Amino acid sequence: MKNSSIFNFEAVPLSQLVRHVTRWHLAVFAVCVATVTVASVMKSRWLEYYEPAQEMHYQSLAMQAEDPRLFFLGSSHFMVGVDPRMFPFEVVNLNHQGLDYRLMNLILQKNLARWPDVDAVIIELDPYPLFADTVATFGNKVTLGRLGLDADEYTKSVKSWCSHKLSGLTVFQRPSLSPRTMLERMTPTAVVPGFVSSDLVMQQTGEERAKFHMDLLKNFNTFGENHAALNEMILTVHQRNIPCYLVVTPHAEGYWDALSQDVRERYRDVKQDLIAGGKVQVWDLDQDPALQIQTHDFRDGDHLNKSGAQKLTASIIRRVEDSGVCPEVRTARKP
Amino acid sequence: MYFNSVKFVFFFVAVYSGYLLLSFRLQNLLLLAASYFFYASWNWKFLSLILISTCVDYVAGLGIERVTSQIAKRRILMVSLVANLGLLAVFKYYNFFIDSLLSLTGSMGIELSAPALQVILPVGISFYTFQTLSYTIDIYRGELKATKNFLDFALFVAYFPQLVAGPIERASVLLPQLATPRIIKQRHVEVGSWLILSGYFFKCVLSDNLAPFVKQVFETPDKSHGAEVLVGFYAAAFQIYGDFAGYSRIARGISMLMGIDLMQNFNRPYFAENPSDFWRRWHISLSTWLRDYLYIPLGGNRGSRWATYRNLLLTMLLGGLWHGAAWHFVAWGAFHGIALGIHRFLFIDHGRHPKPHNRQMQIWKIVLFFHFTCVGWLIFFIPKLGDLPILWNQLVHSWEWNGLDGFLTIVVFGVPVLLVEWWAERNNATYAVLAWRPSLRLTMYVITLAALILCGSPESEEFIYFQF
Repeated sequence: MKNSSIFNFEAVPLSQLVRHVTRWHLAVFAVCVATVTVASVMKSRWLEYYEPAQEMHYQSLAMQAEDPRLFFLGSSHFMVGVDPRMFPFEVVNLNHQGLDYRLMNLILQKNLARWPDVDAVIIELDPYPLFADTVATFGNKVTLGRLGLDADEYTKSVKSWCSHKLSGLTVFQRPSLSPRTMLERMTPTAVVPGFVSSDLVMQQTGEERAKFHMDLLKNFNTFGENHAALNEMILTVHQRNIPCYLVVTPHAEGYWDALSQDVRERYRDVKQDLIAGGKVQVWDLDQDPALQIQTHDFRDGDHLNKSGAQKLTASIIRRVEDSGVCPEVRTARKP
Repeated sequence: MYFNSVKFVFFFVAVYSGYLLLSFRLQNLLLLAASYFFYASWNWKFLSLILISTCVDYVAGLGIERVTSQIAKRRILMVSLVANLGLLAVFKYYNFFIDSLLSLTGSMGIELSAPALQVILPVGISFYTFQTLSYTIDIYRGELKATKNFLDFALFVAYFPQLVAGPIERASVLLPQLATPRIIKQRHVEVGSWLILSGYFFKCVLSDNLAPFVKQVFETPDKSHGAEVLVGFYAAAFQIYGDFAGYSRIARGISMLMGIDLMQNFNRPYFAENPSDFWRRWHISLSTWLRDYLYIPLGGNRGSRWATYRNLLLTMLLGGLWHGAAWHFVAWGAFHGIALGIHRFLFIDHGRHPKPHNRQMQIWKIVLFFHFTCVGWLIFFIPKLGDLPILWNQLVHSWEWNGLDGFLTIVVFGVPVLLVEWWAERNNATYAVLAWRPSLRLTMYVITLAALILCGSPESEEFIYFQF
């Protein structure tokens, strides 16, 4: 043990240390610990910020008094891709970044009863919600309240809690006191419930986004639960005699190839089973040439920007009209 | 695994805990394993390149020392140079030279074709190649003895704190530290901790908060208004300084905690008064490498005046190319090479020395040269040189007052850094904060820690110099 370097620290026995030096080091240590504690508490308590448009609780409240004909439910792909303002009738678009099908199911169960007259429910079909664990990714505190869910409505597994706490998986909404974020917060912007538009162009390629997703998804083993939740959602909607459609939103070139083979194949099987089952129509707009989506329509590899959202929403409107879902509202009820 | 990631914190805590408990030889083994793991976390396949460099230069070093004939020594050195520079040429420059050649022949009406290499750039290849080259060259010159311990040499090549972005260490400085037991002194812990803390401030608060403004201006110059271009002009200077000096500080800090001193890579570069002074302060490990292994062998300033200018220009052109396989890096090198030549022509060859100790003049020179450096960063950051007129056009003809957030970010985070450095410059202190009285030091620790936690950028950016 004599050679062990832990004993190679400059040999200054505690008894020989000058008193003020000891105090100085203790003071530095104590002050640093106190600073980290206070700053961390400040950050989590007072600096947390969430854009209202991205808050489902806000979205559902904003929609409460309305009478939507269509009920969109999805993750960020719907948040940036489906603009409720373009529809010639009332629609509600409930969504959240990184939402998995288990949470979507809870949101559907909770909100469908509020709008018994909807003509159709349109749910996003995408590999991410099929494999994701929202609570583990974003943390319980960030997620449930903002989804309009009560804490007791979702029993989070110990694994989810651990994944979040230990891996530091929170990937967005980190508050900051920098001038940029503070000015952004102070700048009033018009909020469209359920829709966030962007002028950004291809901030990350399809391949980069898929790699980012694979990096997140490797922590989870939730495919079975999410798959069951998706089927339960479709069943719930059908039990109310409401048509249900699944929409695949566009992804940029390279996205699908960069997903793992396992994820691709399981997603493809789910999609084919749904189509073969015949209970639900799948509108695959991913590679739809009629949509004319180009590189400049993407905000990043799997999200559309403003121009992309216009094309996607217009296409969905056409399909809704063609399917005869809302015959009595073909003429605009609301411009 | 970036220094600014949670993974790295876990990695370093684990390595450091083991390091403190092990004896000296096992420490080196642990550091080598940790260094290879650190590098493999990016791409394990490219570990083979480091291993090739390590083996070639270890054998070459021993060979050069063993043989007596100067011709044989030179031949062995050539093998080392060809192997190292060959790897660098293939992995970093092949596609660049082929593309440039094809476009040149295409412009002359000759259509040629050559296969492109489908390979990503190995992280840090330029850094460890230069580091290992200095080892064999120093042995060839008789300035260094070859090490017989392969483990020590492998650790010298792959030492993780400085593996991917420097400082480019000299074997004569680092190898002896790796080959002898380290004693971690109180100074190591104090200075190391401060370097790490301030390094993270430089990177996460200063650089990452400015990155969006720089990215916006340089990636979409036609969409940026005049005020944004102006903010981007200054923000780029602070971003790259925060990013690279931040990395160097963290690298030196974590190394110092282990009792190993790495060289200072930055010495308040924005207080330089002229190009020559700037290159004594900016990326010191590269500029001294270029001086010792390129500029001086080319003849340095020993020949005629024009030969000196040529040597300066060639050295800086290659220095620019070292940064990346793109013409704007070459242009940036040329920009500084010409500036060094003009400075030498005016103030050294013609002896126009300003009056010494003229504080006012000194401040004007610093301010003026800072702006000159910023122009250089424009060339460095712009992906296409053809975008420079667009930026100028936007600056002059498309003026809107919408760069307030960028301006405030520079004022809030950049100016305090300059003020602290100004104090250090005036008092000739290496570490300004560590020279202050205890109450002020403690206040500075609190401010830096709090800023790191509260003002760290929401978007974590890669270190810019990793791509080189």
